[in-house]
Parts: sequence; C-alpha cells; structure tokens
Amino acid sequence: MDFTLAAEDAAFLDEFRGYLDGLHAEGHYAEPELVRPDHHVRPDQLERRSAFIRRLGKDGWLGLTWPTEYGGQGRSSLQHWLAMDELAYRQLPSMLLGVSIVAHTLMHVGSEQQKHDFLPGILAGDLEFCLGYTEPGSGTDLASLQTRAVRDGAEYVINGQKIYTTGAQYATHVWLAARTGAPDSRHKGITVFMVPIDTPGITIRPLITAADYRTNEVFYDDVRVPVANRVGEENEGWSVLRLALRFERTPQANRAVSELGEVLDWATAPDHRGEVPADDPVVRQELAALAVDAEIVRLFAFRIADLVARGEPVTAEPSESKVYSTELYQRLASRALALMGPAGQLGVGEPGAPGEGKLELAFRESPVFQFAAGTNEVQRDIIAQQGLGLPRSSRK
Amino acid sequence: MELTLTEDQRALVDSVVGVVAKYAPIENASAVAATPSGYSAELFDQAVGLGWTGLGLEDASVLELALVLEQFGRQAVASPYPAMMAAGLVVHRLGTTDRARELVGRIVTGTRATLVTPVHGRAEPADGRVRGEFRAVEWADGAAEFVVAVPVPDGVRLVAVPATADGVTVTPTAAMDNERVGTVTLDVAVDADAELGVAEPAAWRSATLLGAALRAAEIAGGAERALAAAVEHVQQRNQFGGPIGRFQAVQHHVANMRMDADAATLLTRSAVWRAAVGRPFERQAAMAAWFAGTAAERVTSTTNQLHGGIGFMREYWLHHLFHRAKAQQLRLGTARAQLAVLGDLVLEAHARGFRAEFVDWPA
Repeated sequence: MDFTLAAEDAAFLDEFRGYLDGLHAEGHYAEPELVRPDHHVRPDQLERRSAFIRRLGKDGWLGLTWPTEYGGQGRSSLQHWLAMDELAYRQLPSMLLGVSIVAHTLMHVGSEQQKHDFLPGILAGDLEFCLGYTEPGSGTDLASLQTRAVRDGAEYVINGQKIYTTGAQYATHVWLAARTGAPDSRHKGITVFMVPIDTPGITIRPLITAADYRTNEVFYDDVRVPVANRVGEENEGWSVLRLALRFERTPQANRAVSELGEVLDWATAPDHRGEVPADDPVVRQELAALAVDAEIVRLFAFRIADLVARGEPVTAEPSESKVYSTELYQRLASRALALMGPAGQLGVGEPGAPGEGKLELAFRESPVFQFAAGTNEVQRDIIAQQGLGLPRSSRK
Repeated sequence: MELTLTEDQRALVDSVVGVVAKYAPIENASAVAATPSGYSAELFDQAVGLGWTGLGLEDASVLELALVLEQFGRQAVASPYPAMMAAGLVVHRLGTTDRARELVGRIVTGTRATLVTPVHGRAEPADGRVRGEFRAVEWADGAAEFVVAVPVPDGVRLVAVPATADGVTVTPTAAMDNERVGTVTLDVAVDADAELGVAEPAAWRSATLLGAALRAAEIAGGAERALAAAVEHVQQRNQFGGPIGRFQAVQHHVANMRMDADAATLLTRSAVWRAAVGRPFERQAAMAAWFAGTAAERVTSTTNQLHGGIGFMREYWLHHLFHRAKAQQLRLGTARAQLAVLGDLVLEAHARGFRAEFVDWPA
C-alpha cells in the first residue's frame, strides 16, 4: 500500500505548475479571478479564455493523453487528471470538452477524414465543442431524445431543440445527438453529428442560471450538415455516446479543496468586527468537519486515478466520487455562509463581502452539480447495482 | 501509488481472516461474550504465536497492525489484543527508560497491558504516589500492567503499575458492546522503577492520535461487515414478490453505506500509512477517527433498518456491529474533544501553508 505519487508523475505536475506560473507571469489570468472562467459571459472574458486555451495548445499541453501519432504527449490518464485538477485548483478554464471527450471518441470511431479535419484544430485550441444532448423532454432519460436528423442526399437535415447547451456561445461546434430512427426507437435510432455552430438554421438563446453564468437553448431549423460530419454509423450513436461518457469522467478533487481553503482563509482573518472567527471553538468544529469531507473527496478521486493507472476496472468508484463531492459543494458553502451570518449574503463585487463573496456564489451554484452529469439518484443506483450487485432497476 | 495491499500484506490478511474465522467468528460473538474471560484465549494465543503482537513494535509496521485490526472489526471480535497493542505503541513511542523497553518486550510476548489516560479519569500525583478513579478502562480485569498517563505541567508522565501492586483495585463493569471494561482505582506508590518516560504535549497528542487511527481501522472493519451483511440480506429477503434489494429506497441506503464504509477505510489506511512511513499523520489520523466513529454508527444503524426485526434480536449477531460502532466511537473520546483536536490540527496545517498541507499529494 502506497499513497505517494510516483516520481515521474510528481515531476510532471511540477513541470505543469511551472509552466502555468510562467503563463501567469506573462499576464494570462494575472488578475485573480473571482468567478470561474468557464462561467464568464462578457466578450472580453471569452476572448481571454480562448487566448489562454490556444496558448496551451500552441505549447503542446492540450493533447496530454493523446497518442503521439496524433500530436499528443502520450501521457497517462493519471497525469491528465493531475493537470485537470491543477487547472481546477487555480480556477483556470478546464471545460475542455473537445480535447477530452470529442477527440478521444474520434480516435476510436471517427473516420480518417474526421481525424484529419478535427484533431489538429482541437489540439491547437482553435476548435471548441459544446454538448448537444439534453432536450426539454429528455434529461436523464437521454434515449428518449427527439431532435430529428433526416438524410437528404449528401446531407442530413436537422430539426429540433436542445437545452442547457453550456458553452454554445463560445464553441465552434456542437457534438449533437439526434434521432435518425423511428420516434420510439430509443437507443437504436440515435446518431451523433459534429455541427458547426454557425450553420444557418441554428438559433442560440441564452439561459442565465441562478448562479449568474450562461447556458443556452439551441434551436435547429432545417440545419444542413454534411454526411461526413456524422460520427460512426447511422443509428449507432448510442455506443458513440457511451464511449464519450468514458472520457467525460475526470475525478475532481481540488474544487472542494480550494473552497475549503477559501473558508479557512476567511475564518483565520479578523472580520469587520475585528474578531477572528476561528477563535470560536464552535467555528473550529465546523471547519474540522468540513476538512474531513474535503479529504474524503480527495481520496475518492485518488482511488479512481489509482485504479485507472493500474488498468483495473472501475464500477461504483466514479459514482461515489461524484455523489460525495457534489453533495459536499453544497454542504461546504452552506456551512461557510452560516458561519458568516448576515454578511454572508453579500456576493462577488459587493463591498465588504466576506471571502470576496465567492462562497455566496458557490452556494448558489452548488445545486447544479447534484443533477448535472448523471443525477445523484442515478449515481446511487449505479453504486448499488454495478458496485454491489443489487438487482437492475426497470429503467431501459 | 498503489492503494492495494502488497503480497506480504495480502498474506497477512489472509492468515488473519482464517484464524479469526476459526476461533472467533461473528456468529460466536455472543457465546464468547458469555464466557468468564469474555474473549477467545485460542485467538489470543494465535495472535502472540503468529507475531501479531509484534506488529509496529518489533516487526513490520503499524500499517500491518491496522490490517489485522480491520479483520478483528469485521468479525466484531472482543479481545484484549487491541488495547494491549495501543498500550504497547504508546510506551514504544514515548518510553525512554529500561522499564519501558522491558514492558514493550513483554507485550510482544503476550503480556496483557492496557492504557489508563485522562479520558478515563483524573490522576492526581502526590508525594511519590498516583491516585485516582478511572472508568471504562479497557480489559482492566486480567490486565497484568496498567500504563498510566499522569498529566504534569510540561506534558504527560507515563508510569507502569502492575496489577499486583498494593493499592490497585479493579472492578469489572458491563459495557454497551461485547468488549470488557472496568473501573480501576489507584492509590499506589510509584518509584523510579515505575517511570516509563515524560512526553511533551505534542508527542502525547501524536501517540494518542495513532491509537485513534488504529481504533478507526477496527471501526472501519465493522462498517465494511455491516455493509456486506446488508447487501447479502436485501438480496435474499423477499417481500412483495421479490428481493427488497430491488427497491430504489433500499438501494440508495446501501449506496450511502458504501460511501461511508469506503471513506472510513480510505481515511484510516491513508493516516496509518503516513505513520508507518514516518510522515506527519496527526491531522489525517484525527480525521479518520472522527469520520469512522460517526460513519460506522450510520452504517450499522442502516443495516439494522434494512434487516428489520431479526437485527434487533439478541440471538442474531447483527446487533454486535451496531453496539460496537457506538461504543468504539465513545472510546475515541467525547465528540467535542475529538473535534477540538481536529480543529486545532486543521488550523495549524493551514498556518503552515494550505497548498502543501491540503492540496499536494505525498511524493
């Protein structure tokens, strides 16, 4: 039993940290961000984001786990996880769906033409993807989706509506799941397409979340996409989506840990009344309990990384990590605000907001994680059924 | 990184599993508890004979000891072994005298010792004597040596008091679970021969926390067993025409139990591993103890809920896990004291540097 990072993994992380320090010194995100950049909405913020990502691409850091034949570094998934966690800890952009989900899926099932057309752009940071999965009537039950794609010669014509397409306002492409089979064909009638976001017929309408950042509704009216943009065979999209899901799960440890750090920073400095909150034994007890949960989140993530690195199967572990961490996000922000009292109402940008208001925002954002990326109810089903062998539920 | 057991560790665990299943399986816990001694002498002799009493003292490390204790916890074993190892580790870490070395050597060869500390009562040192009344001392009746922690201005003074010394009275008392505890009354002369060493407060805290992490290993083992029992039961128990394990409400209980049990085991192994390889472990140990203590109560009470009536019957073994989870939690000290120590450790670590202490992985 050994809880250390291997020397080469520690060296890699040191190198990546040094690189990010260098970017910081050059002016990339030199001003500490109060709000996570993935949530930024202003045009200048989006420009800063894409400049940062293109820089990562230019310097060869986007294709960490890509095989060298595709221009990547051929690194282990463990090192990829360390890099993603480092970005998360520094609150740098990390929603790199193209690099992780799209590219790896294309390497497995994409055509040679698609690999040629898309991988270099993703690797350079020029192409960014958003996910077109969820519809108003199809959330957790994704196999019920009804956005329609009909073959018309060398093109497909797409009609329908997607919702919660986060990142559509800055993505170049949408990774779209559409129905090509009969309306009731469920898993057997879905096809995946890569659709340029500026294709005529696409209308993007902003949806502003309760945590202020933007997601989108996307309407598709007679949107024409070349057959060459179809990923895999027609009606075999479900297996493409399942494959993509494998690359979506990157355990994150450091988001919760960095929020714990924010709480500790707040608690150990004098407040506006000149009192240090952590001098109060009751406050210290709360901090102690939160620190335990943050450590559990770290160890749950570490365990997945360890299993994957050793090529062992993972079953319930990612679901345990997802449930525990997302429930902690809410608990941590909730308890922190409760310690702050009335001043805890003050958010980012408000004069005198404790901890710069970050935890007020974290609290408002915290519900989303529990239902996004596989609801925690489904995750608990997975733990019980796949992890512990209890009977499969009646979901189809 | 390798969170699985080494071959040697796996062999040790396999050996423990077999020996415990032979001499003190959980199905026999009530029968063993009803014997005069309250523990399996055969299992105890095996522990000595197979070298488990040397783990962390003369042989292997506290990590191997924790792996043994996990298995004791899994089978709800009541035994003087964990208490005597806890006493041995305190003397091993903090003792400085010949008497300390001699006592550790005797524990390795099977001498029953147990700790008497401020959580049990207040020791009043006075003119070469130690006086006090100490409640719920583990395996007091039958212990050959008491390792008494006497608070002094600059820390904790440790003295060895043989059970045969004049002025030692032991009164057995029934505990909530199947372990044995007793009230120890001391009014004994302690001369230079009794001195084991004086520990500074930080060293005493470390030694105490190592003991807490090892108890957490036992507790985590109990939680793992409670989870396994629940999974087995809900697959066999049929109601409304099928196993109750098909109901989502039941599955979600079990999923929560798994997260609790996994977290308790991971925290505990991480803390004990740190101690075994000589890294700072105190904050991790306090976390493991606090979490395992509270999580095991949740897990064992949920397994009771899923079992229904049978889990509430004395004649079935399940209640041992529930009672042990609570009693072991109490033996870790008051909730308030545990969180106070942990709060101190968290703030001390934050002051040293958040990133290095909370973010960086051991390298």
